[in-house]
Amino acid sequence: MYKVLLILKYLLKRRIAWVSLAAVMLCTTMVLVVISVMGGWLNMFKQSFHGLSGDIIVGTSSLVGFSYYDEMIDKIGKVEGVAAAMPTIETFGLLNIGPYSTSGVQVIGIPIDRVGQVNRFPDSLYRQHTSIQDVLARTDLSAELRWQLEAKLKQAPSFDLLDHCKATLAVMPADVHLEKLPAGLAGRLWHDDKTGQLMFKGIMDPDEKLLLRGLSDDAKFKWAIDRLFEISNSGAVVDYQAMVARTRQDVTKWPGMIAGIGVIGIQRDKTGQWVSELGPRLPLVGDPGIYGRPLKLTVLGFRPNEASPDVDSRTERNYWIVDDSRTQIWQYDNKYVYVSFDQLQRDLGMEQQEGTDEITGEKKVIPARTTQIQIRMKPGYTDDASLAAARERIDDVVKSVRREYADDRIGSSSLYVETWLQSQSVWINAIENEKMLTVGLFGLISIVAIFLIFCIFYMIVLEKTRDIGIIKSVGASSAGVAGIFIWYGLVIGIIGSGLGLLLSYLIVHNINELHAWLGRQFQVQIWNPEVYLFDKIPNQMSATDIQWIVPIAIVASVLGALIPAIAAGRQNPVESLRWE
Amino acid sequence: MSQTATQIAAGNSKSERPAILRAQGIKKTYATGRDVLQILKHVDLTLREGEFVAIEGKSGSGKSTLLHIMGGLDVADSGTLEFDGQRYAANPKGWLQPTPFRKLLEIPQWLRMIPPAVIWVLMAGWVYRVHFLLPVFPTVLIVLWLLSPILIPVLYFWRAERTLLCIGVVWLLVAMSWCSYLTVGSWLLGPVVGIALLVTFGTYLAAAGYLAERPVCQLRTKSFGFVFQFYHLLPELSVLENALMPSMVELSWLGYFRKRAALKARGTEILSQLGLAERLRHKPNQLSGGERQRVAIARALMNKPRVLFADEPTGNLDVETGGQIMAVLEKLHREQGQTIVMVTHDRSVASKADRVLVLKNGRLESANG
Repeated sequence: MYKVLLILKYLLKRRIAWVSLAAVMLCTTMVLVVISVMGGWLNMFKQSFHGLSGDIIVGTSSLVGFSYYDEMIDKIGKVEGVAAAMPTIETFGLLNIGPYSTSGVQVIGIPIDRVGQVNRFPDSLYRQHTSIQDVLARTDLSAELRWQLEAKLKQAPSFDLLDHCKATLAVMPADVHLEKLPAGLAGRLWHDDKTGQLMFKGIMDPDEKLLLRGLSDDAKFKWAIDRLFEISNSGAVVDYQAMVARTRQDVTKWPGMIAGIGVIGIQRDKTGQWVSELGPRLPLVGDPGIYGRPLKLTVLGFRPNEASPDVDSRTERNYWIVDDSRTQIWQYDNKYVYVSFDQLQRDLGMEQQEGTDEITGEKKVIPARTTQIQIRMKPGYTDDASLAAARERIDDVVKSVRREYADDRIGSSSLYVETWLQSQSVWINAIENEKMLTVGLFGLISIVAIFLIFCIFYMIVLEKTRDIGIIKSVGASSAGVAGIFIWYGLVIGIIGSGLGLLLSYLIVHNINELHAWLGRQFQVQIWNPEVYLFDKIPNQMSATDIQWIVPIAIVASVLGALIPAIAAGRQNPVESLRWE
Repeated sequence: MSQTATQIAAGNSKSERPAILRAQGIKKTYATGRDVLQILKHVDLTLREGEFVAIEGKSGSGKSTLLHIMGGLDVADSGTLEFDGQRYAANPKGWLQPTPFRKLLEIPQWLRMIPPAVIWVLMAGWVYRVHFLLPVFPTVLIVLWLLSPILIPVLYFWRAERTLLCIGVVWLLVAMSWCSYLTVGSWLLGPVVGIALLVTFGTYLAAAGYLAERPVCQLRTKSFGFVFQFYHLLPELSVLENALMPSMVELSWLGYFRKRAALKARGTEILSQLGLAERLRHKPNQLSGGERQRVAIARALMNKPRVLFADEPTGNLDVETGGQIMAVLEKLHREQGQTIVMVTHDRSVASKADRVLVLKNGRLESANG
């Protein structure tokens, strides 16, 4: 009983012990916050990777690709647990964004109508998904508009500029959409069904809103273009009449492209705003035509020849950028552009062709090729074991198809069948190691708390030497006296880690607000949106982390108190009583 | 001859009472550097139930040391102590008490220990290669580990701390090295096993120390009460809590909780009898010297001790307050038959006792001898 009383009294009266309590609290908080943010970050990456790749991927590293993918998809579709599958082509290309700016990009050909069934790529599209969701988040929308927008969200994404413009932008009230435009977006073009004309609407600066109905009114159009040029400072002389004519022509002629947000030069500044390297004007929907600036993609096709897989063709094509993809993964957003599967297949010469056999000279059909098949599993295939089993089944199917068409297959390299985790393991492992390293380092720093507790407890024991003698003279055993300080350490550990848990919960759950506040007050920015493409710092805590870290913190407090406690227990009562 | 005669004359009836505490041949030396001071040379003392004995002596004559030895707070170099016919000694094997750590860590001991440790570790490696002996080592270790709850206390009670430490360290090294050689787990297995062994050994050692110390602790709690010259109250606790301290030490948390009302009533009663009824909630630093000493007496009386040890109870007080304190002790002795052993340098204070003994040159003599 005396232990309980003394611990209580020492806890309340000895303020110095509160320092050790604060140390335990802060260390627990530090490690928990770090592990939560890093873990959340890792999870976000995993989810983003997963969302973009389907569950299982059949692919080849060769740019020539492989044939009979349709047969494979048919059979894979019958495999147990498979929900959907689609072919994609992955190749590289050169993208000409504007004058003197050509960059190498990864080109992905996707069957846009099926992509939503296999992965969550449509969710990353700004125009066709994210911005609509932003508008839907508003409370002042009319029921009809809300219904229309929700219907649009359910639609498959599209590469068709006109279709896209008609379907999305036209239904949006002008003001709603304008306000939602990121700063720097200067103009939009859409097709008005009623008048049958292209419509242009631009933002000149945040205060001025310009609405031009009917671009046939050349005076208005010219005025708009003038204002646009004022801002872009390009100073080029433009033939407006020709531009208008070309715009109308090109909208229907050029195919659409979805580009990673970084590819077209849009990046985030330190405040998290999207800005363009090319100035305030952005080559987004409608703009390239108005500007007369072609956005040209060059791809290389390879001859389907085992002996000499040389470059067979070079295809240049102008594209409209109909949308941008914000996957929040740097590697994707800065390097990937997405075009129609059929278009890319034709440009690469990978479609079904008539050809001649090189040896016999006979005419034959060269089958269509692709480089990847992405497969989506049914819900429930979330754990590694069931995914691995499904992978095995799909591997068997792929091998059987390859055997079936062994005679005239194209692409000698063997196909790999991987789960999404395997295919991204390089990135994910790197981030996992980073997490372990950071948490390990912070854990190491937290060991300082043990030494702090040791010092403070040693001080308390020295200060209480006479009291220890008194307690022993009353009959307390050495173990009992040591017990006081061990329990004291335990209580400090429990209270400290409890408070630390509470504090870290508050911090982690309000980390974005806290970060914004820090940014406002001190101009500090830790989570730099230039580097991290995620909008928000992860703010979830995991129970597994807590159930490890809190007990460790408590044990560490006891460990720090152990040696002072033993020293207290070993004190000779007579000598302690003489202590002044 | 005359000594025994006066003793019998002073309290004939009391000499017939049973002896409650008997000290025989107590010796105590203090070594400070090269000087060895033999403070108690040969002390015999028999204390009978209900006696009030004063031990008089000059400052530094060793009277407080004698009191501490009898009260089970200090250890004598030799001699025996009996309470109610049971032998006891302060901390015969207190919690790793008798051998200070610095002695355990003296270099020659370690040097002697290292060769066998190295041999054992090398053996572990050798055994690892000789596969047919492989199961022998873990078996030996596990058997030893299972026996450790018996082995450790036995070694401990034999005062063989050094042996214990040597065996423990070698054991630890061998277990750790063997586990690290073992490739089933990882290199982490060694440290983990090491920590596990440390924890178990530490627990057994602590338990052995606790068991060894228990009897004298019980004696101090239940049968002895102490009053010191400098009061020695706990500054954080109130007067009542200070007085209740012995019962808190005696009882477990639950036991105290169950009896708390009765115990508090008893504490309040004792304190009221000593004239402190108004000051129960005060802290010791709000009291005067005489009041503090009365609180100390109340604390000493809390568990109804058989023997009350008073170490210069008036030494720090003025004559008047000292007189009050003596009156309290005398009243206790007279009315309740409390056995008291008091140590003082003041002859007038000593004269209040039934029997006055003088400690001179490390021996105890009768006052008028």
